[in-house]
Amino acid sequence: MVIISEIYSILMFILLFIFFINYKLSDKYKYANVFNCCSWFLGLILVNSMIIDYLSLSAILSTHYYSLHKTIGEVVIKMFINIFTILHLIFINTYIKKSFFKKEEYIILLYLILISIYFFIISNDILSIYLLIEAQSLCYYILTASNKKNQVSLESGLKYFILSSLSSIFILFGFSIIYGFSGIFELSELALFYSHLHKTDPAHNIYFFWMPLVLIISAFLFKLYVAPFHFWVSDIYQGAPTHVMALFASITTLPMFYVFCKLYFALFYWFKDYLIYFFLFFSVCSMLFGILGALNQKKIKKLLAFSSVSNMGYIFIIFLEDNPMLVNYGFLYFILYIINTLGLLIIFLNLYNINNQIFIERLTHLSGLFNKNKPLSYIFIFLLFASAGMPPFALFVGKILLLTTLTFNLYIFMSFFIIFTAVISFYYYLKIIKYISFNKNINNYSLYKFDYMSAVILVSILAVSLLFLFNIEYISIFTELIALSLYK
Amino acid sequence: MISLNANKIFICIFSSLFIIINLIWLFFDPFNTTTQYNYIVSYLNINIRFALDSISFFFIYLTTLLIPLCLLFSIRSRNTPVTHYYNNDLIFSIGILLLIVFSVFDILIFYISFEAILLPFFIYIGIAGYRQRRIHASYLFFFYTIIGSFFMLISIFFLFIYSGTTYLELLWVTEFPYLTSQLIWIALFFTFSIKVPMFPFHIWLPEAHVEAPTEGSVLLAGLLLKLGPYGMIRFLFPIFPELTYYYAPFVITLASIGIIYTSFITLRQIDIKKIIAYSSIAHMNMVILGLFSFNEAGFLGSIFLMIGHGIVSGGLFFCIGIIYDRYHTKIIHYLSGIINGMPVLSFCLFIFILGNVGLPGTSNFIGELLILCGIAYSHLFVSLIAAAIGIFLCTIYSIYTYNKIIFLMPYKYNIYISDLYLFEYIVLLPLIFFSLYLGVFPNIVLDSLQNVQLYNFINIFI
Repeated sequence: MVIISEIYSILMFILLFIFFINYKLSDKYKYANVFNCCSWFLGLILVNSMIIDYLSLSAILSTHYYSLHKTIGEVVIKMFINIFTILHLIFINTYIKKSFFKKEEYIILLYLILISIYFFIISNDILSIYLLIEAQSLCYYILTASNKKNQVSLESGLKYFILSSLSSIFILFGFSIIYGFSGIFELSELALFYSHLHKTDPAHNIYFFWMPLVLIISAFLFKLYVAPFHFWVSDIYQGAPTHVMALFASITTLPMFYVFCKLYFALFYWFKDYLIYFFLFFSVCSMLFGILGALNQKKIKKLLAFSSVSNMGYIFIIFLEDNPMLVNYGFLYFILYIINTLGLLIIFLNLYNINNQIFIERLTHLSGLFNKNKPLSYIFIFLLFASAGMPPFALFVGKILLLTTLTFNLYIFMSFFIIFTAVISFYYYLKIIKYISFNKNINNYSLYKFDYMSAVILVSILAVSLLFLFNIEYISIFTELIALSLYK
Repeated sequence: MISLNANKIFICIFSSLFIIINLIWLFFDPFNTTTQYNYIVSYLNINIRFALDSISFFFIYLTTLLIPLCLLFSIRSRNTPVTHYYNNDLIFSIGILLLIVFSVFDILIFYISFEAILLPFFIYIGIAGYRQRRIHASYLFFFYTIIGSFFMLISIFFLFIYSGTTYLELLWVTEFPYLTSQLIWIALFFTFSIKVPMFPFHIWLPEAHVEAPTEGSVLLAGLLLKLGPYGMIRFLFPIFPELTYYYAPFVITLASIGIIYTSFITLRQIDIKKIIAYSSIAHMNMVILGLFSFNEAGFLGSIFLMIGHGIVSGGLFFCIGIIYDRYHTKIIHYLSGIINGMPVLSFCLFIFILGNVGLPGTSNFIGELLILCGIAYSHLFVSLIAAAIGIFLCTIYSIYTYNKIIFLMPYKYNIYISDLYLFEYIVLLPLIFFSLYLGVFPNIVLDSLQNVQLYNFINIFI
């Protein structure tokens, strides 16, 4: 049974939901510790589903179901998402305790998102891809607006709902055109169909080929916040509560990007000679817009949003050439970037200003951290340098591997571009460091004691990002599997 | 906060390293034309080769000499508005990275450590000062160097694409296509000329010197500036000998302009640290002149001048740091008659000033003499005149500065000061010793340098 871990997840969801309802309805327990119970429970479920995935690997490798067959790369993506979610559950504790929204519902919605992501990754069917995008997005709309007392949060939830559903409609429209012409839902059959049509009809019928292509690609670029479609992301990041923003930064984009790659290799692979120029444009554009947006930001979440836009530009290099190693290193870079961002987010989620009763929001709130907490600020500084791509860290290696896999002419072009953007991006990372270590403590505030488990995760993330400088293979063996299963 | 105990541990580590490196000098074979004390680190799946030859040996010697002195100097509690945080960990990490840079024979690891030095030093300049200008200075330092480093990164990957290796000795014997090698040469030269610093890219250095604390200035002038010429000796000369010879007139012109320009600028400076900073730019450009004159004397002289300048400018910055500690100013208009309060310091400063001038008997004299000989052998008369002007102006501003701050009567409000403390003696005496000893017995260094294997690369041109 290939999808046994997904079925297990659904069963466990029902169990969790019943448990939750029971606690909620009973006056006896006053649902005091229900959040902690739920989060422990969810963590256990995730670990279990990873174990089940591992045990059913042989079945996955041997069988090919009609519409729900799972490749080894999808198992790997799922594993990474599970790991990120477990870390997420650990380090949001402080934030959840200090903030004012319904904590228990968060776990239920998170689990719903996870289940829809599991099916989203393994779906080989354009209809189910659309439906599962919608299923994820519905939960995200609720989570973004979950801070009901904050007007910005409500506004960003509405904004996210309108814009994201618009892009989903584009996807639906593109899929419906494809289905209208071919009558096929299945991705592998569509790939076969496209490849034959590509041979017989070199003129590329504009309605059949280009319309759905433009619609689907633009909608997916919107969801992945690549540059011309990136305008919404800073507002949503700023408006959403920080733990939801951590979800956006860690587990949302990776499966979305994977499915986009899948669609690219199934449907658009035959147009790659034309599409390369578009992807070059998108990549360069998002590098530039990302750094320009982040350059003068005063708010930390917006800064992170724009820096992730520019990092999507780096990742989109993988479409510039037809090379499996490039896909491998693209996913490697993506995962390393997510790990680094998680490190930064742990710090933002745990620094609580006791005097002002707020979490860190602006860069000025960080001033004087160096005098308050030296080890933390050292880790913070190292993480910032790591995400800027300084040499002794793993993200530097990821960037270099991406660059060196390109062919010579493209390498020269992109390397000068990347250096240009990297030097400018150093400016805003150094600005944060300036606030941390150089500025005196203006606000005279005191900081909440840092969570013990979060500190452990933070140090281990730093160690990981230093370790992978020397042996990138530890992650590379996983991302190779992803690339191979995309290129099957 | 890092406690004093950690500082003691750091000092012990680096002092024992200094003793070890002295022992190595005893058993160092000056007639060996290859590298000695090879050590290969096999970590996971990469092999990094660390080794010593005469050139890297003396830079490592300088590092192990200066780092413990800096750590020692940072012990004292100064009553300045600066934070009381001991910056030992930063100095220590800079020292370790410098040791890696000077001893590694792998261009990628060289690059990584070369750029990783920026990380602690950026923080170091930023947290230690008290003026708002320090942030500007640290930004200047960081961005000038990082742009150069990125050019080096590109050229490393060009080298890697063509040769398939990052080992230095394999790169030395590889030939590269003409156009590509020119691009690589220019990119690498850009990197190292920023670090020297040469004429159009020298703005970051005086700013960084003024804003950095004393130990930071010592590290900057004594060790970090040496990375530029060291990189040139390691990469530009052996990998592209013909191109280096081809571009030599260009480099010599830049260096000559730099010497005259910075020497004249120095005459108008009122900040003592800025004076020493500009004079070290002039000296480092002199080193470049010696390197690019392509003969024995110039080459030996430039390495010798680098060592001498590391010692002398380190001593000068320590003296200025002590003066700043007492008087809380570095502006020469506010300083006068220091000799009345601090005669011992005045004596030490005098020896270092003489070293800076290049008086016979001090270490810089040997270097400058050899460089002038080298320039004259190569018939570079214009740059000979430039170097002579530089030396002459160096005498003027050094003696003028010394005269202004040490002699005359003291101002009324700065009479009550104490002379050197014990640890300041301990810091200054080794530097005075080495400055004079190398000036009187230069052959202990030159003998080892003369037979160095890199010397073979110079023989190509003779």
